[in-house]
Amino acid sequence: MHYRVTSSAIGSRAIQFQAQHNAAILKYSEQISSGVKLQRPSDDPIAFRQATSLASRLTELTADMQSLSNAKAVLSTSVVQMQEFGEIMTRARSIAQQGIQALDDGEREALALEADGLLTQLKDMTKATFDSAFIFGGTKSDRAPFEFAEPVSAGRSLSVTYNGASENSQAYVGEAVTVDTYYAGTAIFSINNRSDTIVFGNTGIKSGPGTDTLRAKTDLQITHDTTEYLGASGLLPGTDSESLDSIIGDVGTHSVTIVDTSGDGSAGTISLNGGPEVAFANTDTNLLVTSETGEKVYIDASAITAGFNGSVDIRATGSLSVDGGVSKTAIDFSTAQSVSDAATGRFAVLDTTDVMGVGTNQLEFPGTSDAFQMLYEIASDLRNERGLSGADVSSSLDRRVGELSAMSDHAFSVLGEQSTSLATLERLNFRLEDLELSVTTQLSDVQSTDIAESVLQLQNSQSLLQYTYAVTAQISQLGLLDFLR
Amino acid sequence: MTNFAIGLSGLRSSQYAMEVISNNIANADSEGYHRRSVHLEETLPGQFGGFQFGTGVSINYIERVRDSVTESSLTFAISDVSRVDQTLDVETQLESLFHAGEGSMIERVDAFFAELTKLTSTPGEPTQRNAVLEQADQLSQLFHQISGQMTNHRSSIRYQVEQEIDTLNGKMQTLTDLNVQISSQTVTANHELDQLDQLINEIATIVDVARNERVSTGATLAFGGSVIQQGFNPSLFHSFTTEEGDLAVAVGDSEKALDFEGGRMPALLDAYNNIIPEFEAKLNELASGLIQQMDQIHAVGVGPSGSFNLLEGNRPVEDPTVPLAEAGAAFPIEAGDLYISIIDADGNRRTETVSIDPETDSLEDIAATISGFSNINASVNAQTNGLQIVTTPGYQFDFTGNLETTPNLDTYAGSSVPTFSGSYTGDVSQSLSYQISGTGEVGVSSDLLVNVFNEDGAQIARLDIGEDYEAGTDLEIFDGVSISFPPGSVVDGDSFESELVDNPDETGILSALGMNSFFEGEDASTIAVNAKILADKGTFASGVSSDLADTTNLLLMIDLQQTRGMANNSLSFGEYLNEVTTTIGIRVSNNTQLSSSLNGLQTKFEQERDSVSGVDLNEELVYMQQFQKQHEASIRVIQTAEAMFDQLFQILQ
Repeated sequence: MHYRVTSSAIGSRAIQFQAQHNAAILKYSEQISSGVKLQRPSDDPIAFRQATSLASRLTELTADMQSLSNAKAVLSTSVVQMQEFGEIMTRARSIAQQGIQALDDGEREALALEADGLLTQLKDMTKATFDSAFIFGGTKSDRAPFEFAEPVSAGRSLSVTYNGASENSQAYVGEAVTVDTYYAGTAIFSINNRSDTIVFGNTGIKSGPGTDTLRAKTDLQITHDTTEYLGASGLLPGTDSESLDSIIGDVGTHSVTIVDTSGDGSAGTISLNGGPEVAFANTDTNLLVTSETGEKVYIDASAITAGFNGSVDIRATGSLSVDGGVSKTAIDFSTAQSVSDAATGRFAVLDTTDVMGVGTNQLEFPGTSDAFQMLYEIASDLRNERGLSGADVSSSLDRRVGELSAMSDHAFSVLGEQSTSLATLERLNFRLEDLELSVTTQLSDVQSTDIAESVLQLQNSQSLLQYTYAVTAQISQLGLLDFLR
Repeated sequence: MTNFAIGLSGLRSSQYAMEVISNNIANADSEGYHRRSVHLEETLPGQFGGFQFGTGVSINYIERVRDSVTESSLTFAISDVSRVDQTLDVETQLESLFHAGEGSMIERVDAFFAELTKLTSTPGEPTQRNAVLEQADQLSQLFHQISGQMTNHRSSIRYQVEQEIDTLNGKMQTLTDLNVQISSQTVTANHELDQLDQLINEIATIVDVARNERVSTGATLAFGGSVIQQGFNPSLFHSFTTEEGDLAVAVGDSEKALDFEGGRMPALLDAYNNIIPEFEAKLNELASGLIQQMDQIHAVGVGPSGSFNLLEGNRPVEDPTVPLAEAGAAFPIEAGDLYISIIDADGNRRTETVSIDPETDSLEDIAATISGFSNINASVNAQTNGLQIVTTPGYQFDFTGNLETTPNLDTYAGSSVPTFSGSYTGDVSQSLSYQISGTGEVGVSSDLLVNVFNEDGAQIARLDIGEDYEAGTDLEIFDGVSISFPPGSVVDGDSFESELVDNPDETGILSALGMNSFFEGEDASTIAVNAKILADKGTFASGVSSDLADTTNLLLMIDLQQTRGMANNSLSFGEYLNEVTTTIGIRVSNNTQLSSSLNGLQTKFEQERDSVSGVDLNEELVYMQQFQKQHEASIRVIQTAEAMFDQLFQILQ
């Protein structure tokens, strides 16, 4: 069957093919101009899906790298602070060692001033921030993590209050990795290596059993409450006995000896713990009797039993306080007596079986001071604010050296931990960069225009369009009319 | 006179033929025109002397040249092309909605999770916190935008269906008129038949149509698989909504939906009834999944603004008095426990447990159970049917499931009140029981122990709180949980319990009711960032405490990006969205190819039709030459006859 070709068919084909070629030219022009060959999912659904997944991955990697960069910046800031912290602790230890060997107060004062400076430096360090967030506040990074208050007495240490959180803040840095960023300051600047409590003083109080909870150091105040003379001597406490007697002890610890020289109890002598005899008369109601070692009792001799000669046992009660007298605990002369700080609830267990008298002892809780307290205590010991003996001062400084060594080790341990985290972040950063490059390359492979190919295709389409026009024109020129006359 | 008559017949025939050819040439480019072909025949011969002599020529008939098979195939092809192109048009628009270049849905979802990631490293940076909320807001708006555009698109398709029906009915009326005209004419109504062919092809762009021509009754047409006797009364179409809610088209008074196979109409109906709802459902599933999963995490966290005095759910139920499973909650609620932490003015935290069975418990029941706990009250808002919880002054609450500060001490006589710290990292909620062994002072007396047992009664820890223990310091039990005993006494045999909560809301009720939610709404058309969070950014629950740098919840939110929580837990958000985009892309791609193929087929049929029915100008010119020659020859015949007669008359003269 012959095929009839009409002018209408030629025209419609010409229109169809020029439209087809123009569409191709538009497509390749778009690809070349935008650099992207996948403009919409239908261009190549599978490739588009791959490209979208890669683009998502790229966004994820970019965010991870941004987060990682922030985390690195925080940790870098923290590491710098940790290095300084370690150096402060090292220098403080050196100061303590020099203090032990110092020859005079002037040298010790100079060292104390340097310790003061280190403390100020350390306090300032706690206020370090990154991006307005305190880096040592843990998850509570919006407030200064530490508050400091001078002690109320020379025997106590610097008061340090931690306002931060006990949890570290965590940042997601990609590849299912999280790192600690804002560290809890309490875990950085304090360690708990508690060892046996040390009692300075001559009241006879010793550290008891159990584990104390008080920290750093504090004064232990032993005050007198009552004095009771046992037996039938008729001896009574004097009017100032409660406030001025300096003895404390259960029966058997202290005693007085009475010699009734008058035979009717109106006069005689009395001595405390075998000390010097003091003459009394039955008119004495507040007679001071002092022992050879300086212990004092005030007695009321008005009712001494006639003809009484001999020794009288004394039970002198007293109280203990570790919070400056805010709260008092009656001495029970036991081996394990707990004395608490009313403000903090922390306590020390003391052995009061051998307590002898009133006074102020210093309790020291080795291994419980934080870094700030250590620096404070070095300066305090260098100035001997507790009034310790030279040997005790040296001993105390020696303990500080030990504590500072431990704190220094701790500082470098934290530094090591953070440096390791930083190193991990660096490695992760390299990995993320590699991944980013890889994903970018893959994405480029999948969605970017192959310029050479597209240019060729464009050129091909343009040529085809030209041919279409040329052929259409050529065919239209041929007609029977041209041959009719 | 015969010779004159023969010449005259040739003259007339060639003149008529010239008119037909001229008309063909004139209509060479007229749409729907079929070329005419003149068919001549010899007139009846006369007899003379036992011989037959021809008497001339006449026009037998004028043929409308047409191949009915090709015409029919072309009509089907037109229907198919129209359907595919219309479907392609709808799908291309959907494709654009889901992937509109920069700022596409996938990019927005990625950007949201990217900002969450960045916030973990700069939790105290208000700008970064704003960036998270800003991205969430933009994502919500994009959901709105796409959902709205789909709704508008569907509405416009419905309007288009009505327009198409109007057009179709107009053509059906025209068809009837043509049938009347064709049947009323005594000659072959080629002009009207051309119009009929053209009209049917126009109808075929709307619905698939097949015809069987009968001159007496007009064309019998088949639409949508149903044969309709299209006689001299038009069959008119109308749209209606089926019981299933689908838009359908029927003819006459019938309510039987026609099942069209070609033309724009079935494509529009398919787009309205299936394609757009399918992608609307996918969009809503994505939005719902994002809302539910984000809210479930957000609900059990708190932001820097801390715990709550008052919370009101923003997703009400339809009926608070019927079991939750039937109450019309926004999201499914499972059976399980909900743990509520109640915090006093000193920060002491206790945990209350609400056991929920959605098959039996109504929202009113849940409210009553919560109200049974001290210092807290719950009720159902009569206006909104939403749950609201309020604490008595001085108390707060949250759903973090954080460890209780102190346990219930009903069976505990010691003065050393234990406290818990840390965060439970176990993967199952459980209750631990503790029993004191020994009597004495914590940290002072010897032989003081705490034995810890799990729910099965197995001992899991043995803690020394005697003389070697520094009272008040933490003793780790397990999985991140620590306990401490302050200075004080303990008594042998004392016991207490603690709840360790892995998932504070095992039921999903918090997200279902919109309690402490990150989003409002429940699907793509209603999703929005909770207005309360936008007003007070400190309520964005980035952690499980009020600490600004607590990123616990952020880490869980980031996990969502990779969590396969969509499509029956087989795809992540990104994968699901990719799947949707790829699906529409594949459909567009396939239909583009199909359209190209069908257009080629249509072109082929048009070529075939034109090869039969089209006007070839050169061919017509040949015919014109042919008839011109015939005309000239006929004139010569007449001239010759005249000359013969003249010579004859000269004899007579």
